[in-house]
Amino acid sequence: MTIQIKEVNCTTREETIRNANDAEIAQMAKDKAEADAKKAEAEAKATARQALLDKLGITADEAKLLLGGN
Amino acid sequence: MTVGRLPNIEGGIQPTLLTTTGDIMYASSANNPARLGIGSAGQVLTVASGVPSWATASSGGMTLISTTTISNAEILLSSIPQTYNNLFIVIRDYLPTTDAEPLRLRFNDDSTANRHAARTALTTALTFNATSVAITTSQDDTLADGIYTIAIIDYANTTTRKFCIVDGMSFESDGTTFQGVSGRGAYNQTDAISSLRFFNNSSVPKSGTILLYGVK
Repeated sequence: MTIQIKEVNCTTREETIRNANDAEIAQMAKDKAEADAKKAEAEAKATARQALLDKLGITADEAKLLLGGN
Repeated sequence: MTVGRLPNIEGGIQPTLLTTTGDIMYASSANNPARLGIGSAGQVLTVASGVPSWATASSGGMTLISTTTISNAEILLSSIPQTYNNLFIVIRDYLPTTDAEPLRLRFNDDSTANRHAARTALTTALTFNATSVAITTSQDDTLADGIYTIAIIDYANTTTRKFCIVDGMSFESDGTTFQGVSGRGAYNQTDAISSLRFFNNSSVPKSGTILLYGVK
């Protein structure tokens, strides 16, 4: 799939639509990889947190109450 | 009768006086026509030393710099005029291609690691650990009904790091409940902001409108 970039020159107000260049395509891949890694990390933390709650036999709300959170 | 250019005679105005689209003709003195070349985008017509001229609005108000329709593409706003005090951005009815994708903002198209950061909680320490800032919620991909505003204060200075304030909301696909976001983003460089890239991490933004205003 060709990724397009709409570029607006805010001084001249000229608007152009072009295909993403190699550097932009590489950056998109990098952005996606980093986002996927952060998502996986968050999911792993959530899983670990739930496992701990299960081990303690309390709910998330009860854990907040215990720790003084709101 | 032949219609055409007047011969170069006293009293006639030569059409060649106006050389460029948007030029305006005025009298530089009595009986003396002169050309005022087209100004730059956003300039206003004013009077200086008794004759008309184009100038950047000197005080007050918001000037619409650009209106950009999102249509299955990343958006790059470049060559942002450096003549305003602040930038104000309105994003209407944004939809991602992939469900739950927030729209992201990258200052100066700078993808160097650890130069961007975002926080929604006021009390949490800000760590620069990103290459962009999320400026919307995890947006539903079916119902385009939301509005977000972003203020970038003192964007043109070259001595302080840059910050943006984000506020907005959008309806969920059920059309009755909504998500809201109120947060702030930061860019730990002192460069003036001359470009803004709007994008998604997993795909391209599908639709919406981005309005960029300059604020005096």
